[in-house]
Amino acid sequence: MSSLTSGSSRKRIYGCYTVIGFISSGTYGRVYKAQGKNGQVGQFAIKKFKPDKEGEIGYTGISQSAIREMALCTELTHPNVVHTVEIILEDKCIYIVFEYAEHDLLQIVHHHTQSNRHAIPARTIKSIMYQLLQGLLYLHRNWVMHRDLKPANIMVTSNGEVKIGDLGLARLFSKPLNTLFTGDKVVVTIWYRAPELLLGSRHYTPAVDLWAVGCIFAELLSLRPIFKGEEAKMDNKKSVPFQRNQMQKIVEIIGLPQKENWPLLTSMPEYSQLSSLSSGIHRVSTPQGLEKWYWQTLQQFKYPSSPPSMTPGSDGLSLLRGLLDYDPTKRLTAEQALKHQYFLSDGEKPAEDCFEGSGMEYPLRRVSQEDNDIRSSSLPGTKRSGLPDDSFGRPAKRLKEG
Amino acid sequence: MTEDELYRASSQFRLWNFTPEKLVSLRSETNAIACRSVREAFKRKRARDQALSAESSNTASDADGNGVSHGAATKNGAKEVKEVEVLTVEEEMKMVDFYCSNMLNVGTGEPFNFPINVTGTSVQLFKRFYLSHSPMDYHPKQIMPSALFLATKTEGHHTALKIFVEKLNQVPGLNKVTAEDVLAPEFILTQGLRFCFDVRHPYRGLKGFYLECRIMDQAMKASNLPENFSNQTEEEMRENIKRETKKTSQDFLADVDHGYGLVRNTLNNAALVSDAYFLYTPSQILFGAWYLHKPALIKYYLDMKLSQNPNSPSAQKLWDVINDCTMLLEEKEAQIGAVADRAQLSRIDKKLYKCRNPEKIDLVGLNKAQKRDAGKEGQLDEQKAKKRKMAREKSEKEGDDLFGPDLVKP
Repeated sequence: MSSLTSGSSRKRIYGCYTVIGFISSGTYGRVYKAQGKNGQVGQFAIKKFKPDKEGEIGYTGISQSAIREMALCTELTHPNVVHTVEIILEDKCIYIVFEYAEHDLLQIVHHHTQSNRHAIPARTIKSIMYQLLQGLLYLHRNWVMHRDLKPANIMVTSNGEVKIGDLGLARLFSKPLNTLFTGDKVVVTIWYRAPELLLGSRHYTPAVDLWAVGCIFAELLSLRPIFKGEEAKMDNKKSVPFQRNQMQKIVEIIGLPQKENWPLLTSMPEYSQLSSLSSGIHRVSTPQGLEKWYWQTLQQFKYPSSPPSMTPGSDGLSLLRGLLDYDPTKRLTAEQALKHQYFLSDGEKPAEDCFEGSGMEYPLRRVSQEDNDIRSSSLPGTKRSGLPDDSFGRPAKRLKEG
Repeated sequence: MTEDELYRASSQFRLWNFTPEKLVSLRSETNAIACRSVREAFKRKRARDQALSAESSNTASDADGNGVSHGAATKNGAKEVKEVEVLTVEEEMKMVDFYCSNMLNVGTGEPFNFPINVTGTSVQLFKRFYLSHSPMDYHPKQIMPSALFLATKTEGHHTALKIFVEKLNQVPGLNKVTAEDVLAPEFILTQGLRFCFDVRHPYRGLKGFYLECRIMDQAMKASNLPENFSNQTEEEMRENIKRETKKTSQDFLADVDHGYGLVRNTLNNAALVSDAYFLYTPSQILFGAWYLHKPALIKYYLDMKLSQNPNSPSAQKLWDVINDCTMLLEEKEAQIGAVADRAQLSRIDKKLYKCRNPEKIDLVGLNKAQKRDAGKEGQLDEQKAKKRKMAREKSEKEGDDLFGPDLVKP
């Protein structure tokens, strides 16, 4: 505890890390890949928060989102949550040093679509799902909701360990929450957004994360987002538009929500919008059905009909149904999902290394050396929702090396 | 994963929970380091002043041929150097305590009316900061507004800086605090807190225990005790509660309500200002507060719960801890109730104003100097920048000698 006293020497970024390249950027700032030195062993991802622009209107010192992320990162330690190595303050900039992960689910899905559209092996998917749910259970047990789960935010190390990353939007749900509509200006990717949020619910519950997990599961199977809606932009800053197209994509596959199955449906603020959805669009009035979608997907990607180690099978469908339940109170919790038959049918626990026996080689994460590349939108790990990736008003400085 | 394991993984437990002995030694260590640094800083200041006055007297003698005046005494070292009088640990603690109470009033009172989790967190962040920093280096008056503002961010109670300062200025004694004053210590504060901002309060437990009491109340009136709540029957519960707490099913809940108000008051005041958060877990603090006001109820409740698990080895240990915590809260409660010793506080404050570290007084200036390092040099008046840079380098160099680098330069 002696390091608590003010006499302790303070660490410097350049003293412990050599920046290798740039990984991604967002509204918060940028992420760099770095190599440890001087006793710091291994590779790291360093998130540099956008330096505050003093003198600007609305300047409030260290941003609330940086504070929030620091507050969460320092509290969380779990094998399936990206580990925070340290936080460094230097030149009035905040750096969070994370463990480095070579892959993420977005990149893995991309690799399978690009190289001859081979399916992700069933065992790999099972291991990914199991690890993801364990990480999520840990977050929820700690009263933390992630709120922005999507393939790009799920990291995978070269040892096949799955780690939930980017807690930039995560919140403690033991504390009073602002809603998506008032407090946060950040826009969450809509493809993974839970129906209760699309229908105007003002309150997040951990169930929103489980919906996203369902979407991710589906995406691992079909190699494309299951509900790939187009985002309705905010036209004026006061009102949030109903995400009609996104809701429609969901309905086209799993059908309209019914108040018999979701008793609180009729009290959703945007409930009235649902009836207008079905008018005129054939696929809305005659949805494909999740079951049909599932078996077609399995067939398309040539999953065999057995054994359970080779195919997600009917247990997979049952898990997917449980995760994509419209009613957030009936949707599986992380704890329930982990006990699902899908994870047991193999007779053994899902592999701890998701790549075990897959025979797949995934490309290394691309890092760029040039400032110019920052604007190209296809960098791994960046958002792909069509939102502007880099919201800096001016070109930000790159980290100096060495 | 048990609640216990979850708490043990929290930064509050890992970094900010201590044994009483450790807490004492930490404070005296911090005080010793600060005393040394303050004395060194004053020594440097004297050297500078001497050099300056020597210089000016030399030029003066060149000009009018009379250089005998005030430079003489220092030159031959005849003038007695008076060592600066520093604060003791107890004096430091009195100052910090005073500002904690002050902060509590500011946060919960007009015009802020912050919820207790915001004000409570700010008080805890403030107390944590002063475990490793001395009021001689950073006057509590400078840190207080910054800690309160930081708490609005950590607790998700967003308040625009402009509005925060406007409201702050309505508080007597804080009418001159500027936005710059609020932000200047922010980095020092966050670093001093080791970037851990999560404070675990007993408020959730307060609500939870109340719900437990509602269940007991219901059980005494109608037989519907939930499974696993107790190994007593409703009948036994009614009997036992009556024997232990002298309350019948008719006046039990009124008694709980009465206790709830008192406990909440203790948690919102004495618990926050005292060292309770450093020494006990949130649930221990909660039970400590209940034990202070409704000992019979808490005795019944915990005995009932503990007896459910006959192997529970820690019952006596638990009671010891709760007892200690209750005593701490009781003592603090009495202190809060007593008239503050204004004379003593003002004596300490006067003493403090004479021993403040001269190199750390101007936080706004220091902050500006460091901000510029982050890359805005070009925009500044060059001469001004150069002058500031020299001053900064000097103070940094001196800072390095003592502490190693302060806030890091490029």
